[in-house]
Amino acid sequence: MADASQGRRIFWALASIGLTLALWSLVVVAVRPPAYVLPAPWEVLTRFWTDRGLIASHGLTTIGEILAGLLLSAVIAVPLGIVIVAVPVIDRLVYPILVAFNSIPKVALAPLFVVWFGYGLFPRVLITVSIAFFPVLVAMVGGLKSVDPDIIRLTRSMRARPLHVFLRVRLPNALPAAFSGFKVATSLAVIGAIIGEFVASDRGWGYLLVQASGTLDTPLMFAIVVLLALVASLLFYGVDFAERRVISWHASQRQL
Amino acid sequence: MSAVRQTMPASQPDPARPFIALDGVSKVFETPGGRVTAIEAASLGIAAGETMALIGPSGCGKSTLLMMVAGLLSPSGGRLTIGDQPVTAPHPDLAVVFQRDLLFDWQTVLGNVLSPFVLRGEPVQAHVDRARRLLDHVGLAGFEDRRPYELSGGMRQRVALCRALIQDPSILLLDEPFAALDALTREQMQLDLQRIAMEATRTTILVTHDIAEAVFMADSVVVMTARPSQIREVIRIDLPRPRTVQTRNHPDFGRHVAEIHDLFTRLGVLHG
Repeated sequence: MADASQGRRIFWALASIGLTLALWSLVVVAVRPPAYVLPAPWEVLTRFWTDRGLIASHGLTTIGEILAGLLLSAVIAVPLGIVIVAVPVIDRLVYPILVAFNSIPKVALAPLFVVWFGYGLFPRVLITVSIAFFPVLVAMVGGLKSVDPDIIRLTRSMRARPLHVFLRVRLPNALPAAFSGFKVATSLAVIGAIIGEFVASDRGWGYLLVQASGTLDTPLMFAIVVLLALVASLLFYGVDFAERRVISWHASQRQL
Repeated sequence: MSAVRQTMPASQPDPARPFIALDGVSKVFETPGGRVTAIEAASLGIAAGETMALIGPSGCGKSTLLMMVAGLLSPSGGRLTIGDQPVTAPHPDLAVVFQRDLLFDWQTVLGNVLSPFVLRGEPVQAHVDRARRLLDHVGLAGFEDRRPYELSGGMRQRVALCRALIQDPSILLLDEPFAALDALTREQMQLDLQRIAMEATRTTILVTHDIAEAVFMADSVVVMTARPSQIREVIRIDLPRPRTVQTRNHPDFGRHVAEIHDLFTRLGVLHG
């Protein structure tokens, strides 16, 4: 049953990609735009192949930044969320700062990070984290706080210990929200890495994009954009897969 | 107010306080819309080992009364004691079954039944066999490793009942635990609970809005009304125990049901 629905999902995913390529090809054939405005799908594909070494080596940098940024976001946001909910003083003290920080457009921070940390990997990962960690934190805090009041009443009637209620009730209760936050974070991490490379890099797909833009190398730009979409999708479905494994008990995971 | 005093439970045999005793207990909620009186000077005595049903229309404060006995709400006035001790927190030997089953979705059925010990930080090993026996008792053998979402409403509520009974509480508080179930499942649950309750001496308070359920389960039925929320009458039910499927055919069963029915009609809760 699950296999059949999985197969159907993959079929529809391929169908939608096929439809996009067909429409794209149709426009190119019908309108015949110059390649620097809209290259044909096959031109992009050719470009992939001829520049495969260049694209792959820069890709490693970008994917590394994305993964490092995501991992750090989780490592920072999950414990911070727990501390914020567990210690009300920290909630009142730290949460407003975090909200204010989040309202800063992170692109504006990128030049500052260059001044502080130079052109290395570190400032780019830092930008990625600054963008990606907030949805994880907000989801974590929300999930930990949103326990059914009747469940709290029930645990009180059991004379449960606060620590155990936190570990055994609040934490599992927060998992579905944490996964939602993490899904949002995957696409934000991709944005963060590219912004970092626009501003502070001589490596990565973001850097290649800036270079290609300067030489009107549109097929290369398309190749990179397609790859970025692919990486972001894979990350999203990776988290989605883990979510289905970890919280199979949650209502969101049930098939009708 | 004085009317309430007059309809207090028929005089206690001796001056000693009953096991669970309420003297003029009231509960007032402060809401944005103003003060709401949920309970107005309720006085009741429940003997150890007695099963008492609180029955009345919705809004009569019967759940509020139960939550105060549970130590989950504090009275606004009056005196509430269990075994002569004022109730300030949940009694150490008490378990509550709520209207919703409130199972932990992330735990298995067995994990849910054992959760009271886990949440107190106590070892569970000693209770596993009893948990399995309890589940077997309510017809859930073989479901130990299932998750709550795989169970029907009636099965879920039976797990919740097992989770309360595994604590072997001397006080069992039931807040309309069968209200959300279909008629047949409800009747089976009532029979199960009767059977299990007989295994140990337990003081049970059952909140319900089902007259037949109250008569079937209880030694005494407390009839409450809303606006003003008051205890109007306490009716002794002397049907033989254990109560079985045949109990409903007992002449006294029908008589008590009719009596409470008439009372609600006289009080204007029912009219036609």
